[in-house]
Amino acid sequence: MQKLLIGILVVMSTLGSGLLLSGTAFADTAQPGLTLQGPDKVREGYFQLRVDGVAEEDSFVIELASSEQFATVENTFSPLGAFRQLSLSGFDDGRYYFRAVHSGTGEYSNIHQLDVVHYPLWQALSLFTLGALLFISLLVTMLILTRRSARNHKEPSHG
Amino acid sequence: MDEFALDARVGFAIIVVFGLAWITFGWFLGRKTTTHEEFALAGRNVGFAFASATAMATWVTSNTTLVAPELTFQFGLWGMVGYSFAALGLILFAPISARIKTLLPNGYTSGDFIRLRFGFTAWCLFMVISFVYALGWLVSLGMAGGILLQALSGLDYHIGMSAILFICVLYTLFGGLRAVIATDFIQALIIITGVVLVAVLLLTNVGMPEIHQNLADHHPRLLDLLFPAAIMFLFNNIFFGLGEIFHSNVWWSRALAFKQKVAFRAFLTGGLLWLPIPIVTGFVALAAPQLGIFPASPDMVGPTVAAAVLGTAGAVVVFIVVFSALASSLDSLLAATSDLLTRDIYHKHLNRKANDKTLFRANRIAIAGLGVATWILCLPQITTLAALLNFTGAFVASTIWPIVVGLYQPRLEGKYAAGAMAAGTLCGLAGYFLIGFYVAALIACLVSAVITAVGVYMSKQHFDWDLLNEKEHTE
Repeated sequence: MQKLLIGILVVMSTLGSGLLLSGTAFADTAQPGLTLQGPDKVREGYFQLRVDGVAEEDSFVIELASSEQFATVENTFSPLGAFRQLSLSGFDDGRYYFRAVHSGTGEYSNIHQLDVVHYPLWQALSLFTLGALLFISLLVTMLILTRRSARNHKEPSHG
Repeated sequence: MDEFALDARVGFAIIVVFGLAWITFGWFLGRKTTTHEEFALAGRNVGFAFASATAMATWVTSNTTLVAPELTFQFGLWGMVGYSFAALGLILFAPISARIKTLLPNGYTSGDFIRLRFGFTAWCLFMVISFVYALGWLVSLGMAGGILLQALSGLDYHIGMSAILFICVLYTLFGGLRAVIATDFIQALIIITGVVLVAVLLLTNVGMPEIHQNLADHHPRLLDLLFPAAIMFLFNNIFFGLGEIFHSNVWWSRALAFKQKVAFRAFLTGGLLWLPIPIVTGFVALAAPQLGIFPASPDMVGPTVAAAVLGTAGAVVVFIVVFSALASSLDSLLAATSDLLTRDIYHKHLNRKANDKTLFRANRIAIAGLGVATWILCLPQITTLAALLNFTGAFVASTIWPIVVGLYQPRLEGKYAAGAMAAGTLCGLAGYFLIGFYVAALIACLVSAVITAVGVYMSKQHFDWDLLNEKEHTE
C-alpha cells in the first residue's frame, strides 16, 4: 500500500511541475509578410511583442504611437541581436498602438492595438494589508513559541 | 544594441574551464568520503565560515542574478526592493535551524521531521510539495544556464542548459555535501567580489539622471511606488521566500550538517550578506530602456545590461558570477533532493534494511536521475524564470505555518497539518491561475495559517518530542 502511495506521490510531483507545460508562449502562427503579435490587454504594464516574416539577417524596429494613424511616433524599440521578440515594461494605463518596420525595405507590419489597464489600487492595498497582518502574525507567533520553548527546560529531554 | 557581448566560443570556453575546475575540486574533496552520512551531511561538523558562506551562496541563485533584474524590469523599484526581502527567509530560519538541530540530532532530512511529527498522510503531501518545488527550482536553474549563455553570447539555449547541468551533476556526484559546501565557499567569494565590481562599474559608467528621465518619460510605472501589481507582489515574495527556506531540505540538511552552536549565527549572517545583492543585480535592469535594451525575454535583462555597460571584460565577469551562482544552487539542490529520495523514499519506505554502502550508491543514482529528469524538463523553454518559480510559491508557502507551529507547539495534530498544506496549496494555485503569480504564495500561506490555528485549537494531543530522536538501523 505504501509503495503504491509513493508511486502516486512521484507521479503527482512530476505532474505538478508539468502543469506549466500548458505554456505561456506565443502561438507560432507563421503568416506571409511582416506581422506583429502581442497580447490585446495587460494588467501589469509589461508584455512581449513578436515579429514574424523577417529574414534572420534582416533587422526591424517597433514603433509606438498613441493613435492608430501613427501621426507621431512616440518611441521606437529594437530587439536584441537576432531575436524576433522583445519585452517592454512600465506602461501606464492607456491604449497603445505598435507596428514593426523593416529596416531595409521600410515595409510596415499590421498595427497591433494594446490596452494597459492596471489593477485597481484598492485591490492592491487590500492584499498588501492582508500580507502585512499575516507576516506580523507569523513574527509574533515565532517570538512567543521560541521564548516559551527556551523557558521550558524539560523539552526535549535528549537536547 | 545589435551585437552580443561575448563570442559564443568564448562563453563556451569559460563554461568548459570552470566546469573542469569544479568537477576536479568536487572529485578531490569527495575522494575521502566513505560513508553515506559523510556524503549526505558532511559529517555534521561544518564550522561558521563555511556555514555562512554556503547559506549565502546557495540563496544567491538564478533567483538573485536573473529573476531580481527580471522583476525589477517588470515591477520597477518595488521589484528590486521587494526581492531583497527574501533575505527574511534566511534570517527567520536562524532560530528554526537551532531548534531543528536540538530536536533532531540524528535527523537527515526535512521529510524525517514531517514523517515523525505529523505522520504518513502529511508526509505524502509534504513530499509532493518538496518535489514540485525541487523540480521547479532545478528546471529554473537549468533554464537560467541556457538563458545566460544565450543572452551574453547568442549560443543556442539548449547547448548552454545541457552544459551547465552536466557539470553540476558530475561534481555533486563525486563530492556529496562536503564538496557542495566547499565549492559554495569559493563561489560565495566570487559572487560577492563580482557583484561589488559590477555595481561600482555601473555607477561610474551610467548616469543616474538620464536613467531616471527615460523611465519617467517612457516607463513611468517602474518608478511608481503605488504600482498595483508590484504592491501585490511584495508580501507574496516574502512568503514565497519563507516557504522555500522553511520547508526545503536544502536548508534543513545544512542546519543538520552545521555544528550545534553554529546554525543560528550562520543563517543570520548569510541572510544579512544576501540582503543587498538583489538591490545591485536588480538595479541594472532599470538602465535597460536608457540603453535601448529590450530583451526577448525579461529574464535576460540582467546579464544583457551588465554586459552592454561593462563591455566584453564586464560580460566575462557577469558570466562567471552568474555561472558560480547557478552552480552553488544547483549542486545544493541536487544533493538535498537526492537525500530526500534516498532517505525518505528508498530507505524509509522501500528498503528499510539497506546498509550504508547501498544508501551511498542509491544517493548517487538519485543525483544522476534528477539531473536527467531536469534536463528533459528544461528542453522546452516553457515559461519565464519568474513565472516558473512563483508557480511553486503556492506549494511551498502552505508549509510555513505547519512547520513553525509543529516545531514548537506539541498540540498540533498531523491531520490539521496535512489539511493546511493541501488546502493552502490548492487555494494558492487557484490564485495563481485566476489572479496572477503575485498572489499565489500569499493566498497559500493565509489559508494554511487559518487551518493551522484551527488545528491547534481543536487538537488534543501532547506530542512527545523524544519521538523525533530516531535511532539509525543501518548496518
